[in-house]
Amino acid sequence: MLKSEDIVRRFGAKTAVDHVTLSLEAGHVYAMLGPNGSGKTTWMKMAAALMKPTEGRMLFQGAPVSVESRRHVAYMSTEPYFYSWMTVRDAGRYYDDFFEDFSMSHYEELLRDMELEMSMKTRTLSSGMAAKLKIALTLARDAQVYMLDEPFNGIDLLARDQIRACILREATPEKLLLLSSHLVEEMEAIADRAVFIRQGKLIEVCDLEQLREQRQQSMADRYREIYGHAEVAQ
Amino acid sequence: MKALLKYEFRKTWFAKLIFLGITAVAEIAFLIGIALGPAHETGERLVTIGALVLFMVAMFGVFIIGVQSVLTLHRDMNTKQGYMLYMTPRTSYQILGAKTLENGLSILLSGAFFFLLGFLDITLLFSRFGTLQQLWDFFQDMLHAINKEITLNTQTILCLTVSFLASWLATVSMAYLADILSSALLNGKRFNGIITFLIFILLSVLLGWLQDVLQPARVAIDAGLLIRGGVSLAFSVLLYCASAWIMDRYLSV
Repeated sequence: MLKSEDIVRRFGAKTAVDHVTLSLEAGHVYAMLGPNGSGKTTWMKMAAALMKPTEGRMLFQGAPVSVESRRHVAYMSTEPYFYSWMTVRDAGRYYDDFFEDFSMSHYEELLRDMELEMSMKTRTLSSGMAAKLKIALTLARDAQVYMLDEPFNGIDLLARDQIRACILREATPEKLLLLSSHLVEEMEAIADRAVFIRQGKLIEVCDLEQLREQRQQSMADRYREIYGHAEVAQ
Repeated sequence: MKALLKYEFRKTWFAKLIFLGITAVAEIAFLIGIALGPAHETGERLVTIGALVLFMVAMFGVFIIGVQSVLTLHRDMNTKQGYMLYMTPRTSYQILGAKTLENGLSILLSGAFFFLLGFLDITLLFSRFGTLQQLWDFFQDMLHAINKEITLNTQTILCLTVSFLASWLATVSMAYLADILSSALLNGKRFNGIITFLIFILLSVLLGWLQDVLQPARVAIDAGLLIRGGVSLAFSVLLYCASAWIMDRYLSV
């Protein structure tokens, strides 16, 4: 469904994504893992057609990602991005105006689950509330691909539970969910596949059940194995 | 496009509302002054202050609408709020088109509004303050003595307004292009600011040169003003196409 072919993205002398070939399929929840600066956000932005690759191709349903693919790919950035004048209701209306697959009633449901009110001003929301709002807006779309960049960033345990429950509700066989996070244990409860990236390079894509059965390893164990060794080597 | 336009207007409505508020207060003061008449000292004072404020708002209002539009584009390309625009299924041509259209319409509508308001206020002023009509005639005669072709009538003022608004729209379009080049191609490079500024200056010089070249040598003042305005508008269209093309190919948010 979503595929990168030998994709490269450079920022001056720095290579953020280095010849990554990766294919993600519908019906799975992928955890994209890696330390800060490993290229997770850059890869996601290229998949969301927000950033142009320096080399290689990013494909959605076999065609290069474009303005058209944004109709079916819902991307949530890690930083809050709302206009300062917006209320929670305005943000919903904005999505409703631009995305045909956005459902206002689903948005209202998600807001109820997240304990957010329509009249709240986005500029006065705490970081946890803003994160919940971003998730509600993104998941209220009936997209084919959801990419959530650091959905658990800066939020407390209870809010994380709410977010996790909402994300799991959206995971259906027709949809592809891709989440990036530093909270590996948190991701273990949601994802069924993991993508490990280090210094812009793809290290491994693994099925978590197979990992548990064949190598008797959890995702966190594998994470420690990959990045722990790298840190020692460095 | 409708949704994009709606939100472009929404981003700039607050400043416009402030200008409208100031205009309303100044106009009320002006009208009270007119009603009190020339015999009344407060009336004269109110007319003077009202007219002065209206003139200032007309001049700065159009100027600030353009500057605000460039600042909004800059924010949309260089801050996180840019996601609101670029994650939507809209092309760079549509996004920039909505911005240009909103800015052009705002400049045009505010220009037309102040032109009409000025016309009505001046007509009202002359009907109540007869001595001003003599002053105006004297001013006209003086201009005529300098150059026989110059007659300051409604038509010439209208042509001047159109030419001024078109030039300002072209200036804003030049600032758009310079800012887009800076954000999309020169971002993070050395001398980005200086290069951007030089590009803006170069484009301004190019527009001036085009206006001079394309205006026939012997042409009436009104026609000359309209030709210059037309060149500015055509130049704005070219700048829009170039800017959107660069955004489409090179801009990353």
